Amino acid sequence: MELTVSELENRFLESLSLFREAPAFGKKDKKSRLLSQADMLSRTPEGVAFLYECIPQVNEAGLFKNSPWEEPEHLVAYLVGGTLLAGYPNSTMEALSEMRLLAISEGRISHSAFSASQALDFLEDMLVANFELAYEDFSERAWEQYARGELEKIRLIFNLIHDHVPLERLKPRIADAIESLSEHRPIVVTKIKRMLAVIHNQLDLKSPDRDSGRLLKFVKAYYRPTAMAEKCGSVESYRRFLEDAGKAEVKEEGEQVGEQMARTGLVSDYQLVLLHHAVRRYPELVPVILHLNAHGVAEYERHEAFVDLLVQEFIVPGNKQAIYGLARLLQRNLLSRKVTWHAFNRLIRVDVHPEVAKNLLKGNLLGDEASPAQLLIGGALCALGQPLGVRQGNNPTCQSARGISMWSRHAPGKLINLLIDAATSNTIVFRYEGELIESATVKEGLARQFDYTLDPVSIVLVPHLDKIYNEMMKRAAAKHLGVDPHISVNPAFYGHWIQTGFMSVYNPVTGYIEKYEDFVRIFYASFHPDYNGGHHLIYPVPLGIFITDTTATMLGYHAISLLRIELSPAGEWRAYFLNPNSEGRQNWGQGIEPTVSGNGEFHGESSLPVHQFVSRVYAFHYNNLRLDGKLDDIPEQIVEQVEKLSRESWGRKYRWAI
Amino acid sequence: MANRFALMGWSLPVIESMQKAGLPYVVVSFPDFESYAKEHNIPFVGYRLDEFGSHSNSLALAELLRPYNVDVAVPLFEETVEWAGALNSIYRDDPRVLNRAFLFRNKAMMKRKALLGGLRVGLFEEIHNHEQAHKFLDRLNEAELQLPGEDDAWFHVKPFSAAGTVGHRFIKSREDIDKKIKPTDFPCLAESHLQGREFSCEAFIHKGKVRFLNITEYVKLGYSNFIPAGPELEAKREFIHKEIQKLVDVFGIEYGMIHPEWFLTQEGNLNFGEVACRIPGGHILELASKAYDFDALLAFVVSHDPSLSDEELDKYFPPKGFTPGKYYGNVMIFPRSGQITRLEIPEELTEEPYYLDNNLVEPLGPQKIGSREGFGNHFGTVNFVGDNAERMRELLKHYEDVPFYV
Repeated sequence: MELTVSELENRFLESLSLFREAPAFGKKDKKSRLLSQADMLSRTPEGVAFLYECIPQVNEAGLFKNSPWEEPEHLVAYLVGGTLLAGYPNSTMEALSEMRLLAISEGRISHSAFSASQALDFLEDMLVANFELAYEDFSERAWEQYARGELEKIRLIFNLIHDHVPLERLKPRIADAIESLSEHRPIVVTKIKRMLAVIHNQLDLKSPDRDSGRLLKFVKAYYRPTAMAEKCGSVESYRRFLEDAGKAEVKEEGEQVGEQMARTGLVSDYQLVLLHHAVRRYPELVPVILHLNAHGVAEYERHEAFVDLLVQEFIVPGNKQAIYGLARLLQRNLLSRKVTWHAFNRLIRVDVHPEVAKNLLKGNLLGDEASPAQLLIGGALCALGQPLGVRQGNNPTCQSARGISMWSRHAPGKLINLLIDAATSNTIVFRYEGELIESATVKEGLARQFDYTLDPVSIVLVPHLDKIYNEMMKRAAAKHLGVDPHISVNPAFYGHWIQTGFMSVYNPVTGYIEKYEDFVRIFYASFHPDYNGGHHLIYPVPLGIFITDTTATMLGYHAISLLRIELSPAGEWRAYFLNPNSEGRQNWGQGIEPTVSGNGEFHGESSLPVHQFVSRVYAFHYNNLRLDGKLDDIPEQIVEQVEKLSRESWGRKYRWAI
Repeated sequence: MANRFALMGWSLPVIESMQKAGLPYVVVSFPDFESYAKEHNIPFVGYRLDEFGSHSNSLALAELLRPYNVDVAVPLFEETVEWAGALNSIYRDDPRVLNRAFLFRNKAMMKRKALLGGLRVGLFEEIHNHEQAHKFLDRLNEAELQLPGEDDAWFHVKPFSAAGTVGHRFIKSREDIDKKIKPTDFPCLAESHLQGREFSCEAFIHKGKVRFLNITEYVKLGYSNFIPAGPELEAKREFIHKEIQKLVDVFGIEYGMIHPEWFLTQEGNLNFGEVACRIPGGHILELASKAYDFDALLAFVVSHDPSLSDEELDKYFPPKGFTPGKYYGNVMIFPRSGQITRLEIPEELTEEPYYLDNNLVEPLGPQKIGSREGFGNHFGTVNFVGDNAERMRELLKHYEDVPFYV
């Protein structure tokens, strides 16, 4: 016997009126009960329709009061997906919050600080920022780890939104998102692929408007990269075409797909077939298909046999993106470094630990088969080829992501070595102040529920790095009382290139923001070529930043790396940095909006004008020996400008020493 | 109607009921609650209820309450029973009211009184150390005519004044005495194991008569119960009612609500377990409110008021002879010991037609769960409602073992 929806509805309305009438001190308990009933309703289409009908009363009754959802103007669109996946009760609150926004956008609820058009803007942003979830049918194996009813709830809330905000409306935003993601070149491109699949299936891109054109370029690069691919239709018939094609034809195809890959960072099935074909029949065309320049071609020619082996053994439909990683790796001439060469040769022979193998398969979201070893090696090619493509996913593991990226650039041997340990033994060992820390013996990291939508190298390493880092921080806090733990942890965790000086805005003993002017001066004198004697950074600098929202209100802390400070093409000094959490467009308030392209960024970099960047930094390492006399040269006006931005943003949450 | 009730102890649901009904009240509790009370306009007198001496006693407290014109004190928790008794002794000008309160707070005295009045109790003694516990077992075994090699008789020890099952140890063998009883448990009451199926009642007493009787069926003590009790127990209602009236007469209880626990034997006898006169745990009054469609917390409070006439009192209770239409039950959810990180509502629960709602809290972060003492610290309750007592029993039993925290 199932309960009829109307009975659930009656109970919900009864709970709603009990909640509304309860005095402030009695609301908490009634709120949990109300929410537990909303949860049941949110799992059926009729229930969702009913909840959406009631949402003005729910809002009126004060369900969102004293919760993170209280003020719609402070909600963050890209956090919606993670919250929906976080399980009850957060997922239910989030679903109700989306209903409220939809009702605001339709004029059914009027809100003094959030207009109907703002609400619609938010919903459109939200759909694009959480695209994978918004248009997911949850049929893939990877979803099995989630409760069925929770996924149904997510599907139903998005269906409701889709009924009111059609995909067609989102074209310009999707085009922005895909272009920006593509420019940013993350290793994991499932999001772009998911977007392309949905618009390919559901949108008519033939119309001559500008946005359709922008989208069509990507759809073509991925689904039919050449005229011949389009003509053949299926990959199978393209393969048959290649069997009979002459070298000139293959070369022409190779040039086109290589160019498409270089432009978008995307690897199509056709390119994979073409590469395998070339390795067997025309190895000399491999550099064309990989779109290599002279350095890359020389590297390929030197290591031809090894590269051909990698392609044949390890690159399959399930990890075809590794072709882009391979191309970038060859461009970096990494195989010609003795250390990397030996390390990589050992890596391809490892027996993957069964636990690690399971995790690698969890991270393979697109369904195409690939063995754990193939995923691991393909992932290594990508991590080494695209150091700035490492991301943290939905995990609070910015430190680990930043470490992998840093090692890939400056210590590839160390990175592969760690990877071999983790992949074979499912544990790694680090040193901290003379003691050994083994990840397998550490119980807790920062990540509670690990999100496996990461690149394979991160899947293998981050669970361990996260624990090691957390354990180091714990030991540091106990060992060095009243001292910022980063001072001892960063060099132990990242390695010897962490500079010996350390500066933080916060004094943990007094609880005040102290010596902020000195902080800004040391930053400029250390890193800004105008004030440090015209030098560029030697190593990336790990930094702690305050994350702020669009209203410049502080949300939390984050770890990033400063890569360089240089003049942009427009002649502006900008800080270029790696943000392991960035997915294109961001808005930190006060007009501070990091860009990922258009201001001289390399793929994977974010950038900001220097003073805006400094205004969010709270800690960094620097070289004490190179400051001599430089501090006084920093113009007062720069320091004031930065301090004003700081005080009026995150600084509102702190006390400042005078 | 009382001029003003003094609610002895901090209970938001009771305050809410009083506000809703518009009855005059003042809360007496620890000074820690003062700022919260002020913020929410709750009339409040802060008092160190855990201290007793020349600076902290019922006469001094009565003085503090005088401006509020209090004339009835209502004990909400085990620890405030004597305070309420002492205040009511003053208000009613009857020293024996306090003595009666002590009956509820000293389990040995309670048993003696019950024995004197002819209620069925076990063999009991007050014991002060492990040696006396062994001697008690000797005498109990002897009385049970135990032969060498046979198992020891079972008995229970309970601290004199603890609430519910705090400090309750079930001793099943001689080894258990040294293993389970801690030095800090003494002095305590030792009592032979009473046979029978355990259940509780909530009897609302006014002018020495049972005005309303609720019977709660325990599915598992401290975990789950439902109201009204299943047909087997309800069939005995008249008999239970008589026994309770006997208890009320023996103890000389005039006002308030008592919460006795009984054991119903196979032969249909009732063994007396113990009795309390505060709000019972397990959200029992909440279930009773729903099942009988009245505000049991409010009824609890007004039962303490001697000035009410029978007609005035009737307004706060279900009509006489009212039979509930549905069974209301709950399971208290305790995370299993070990590491937990989050709340996960089982899918099968959301599809269960008897499932009503829950008020489970989310853990604030990963945390370690130790073993439990008494029945405190649950993470919330899951509520059920349905037509069939047997199905209700099955469900409550089932959800005791389903993990909600992982």
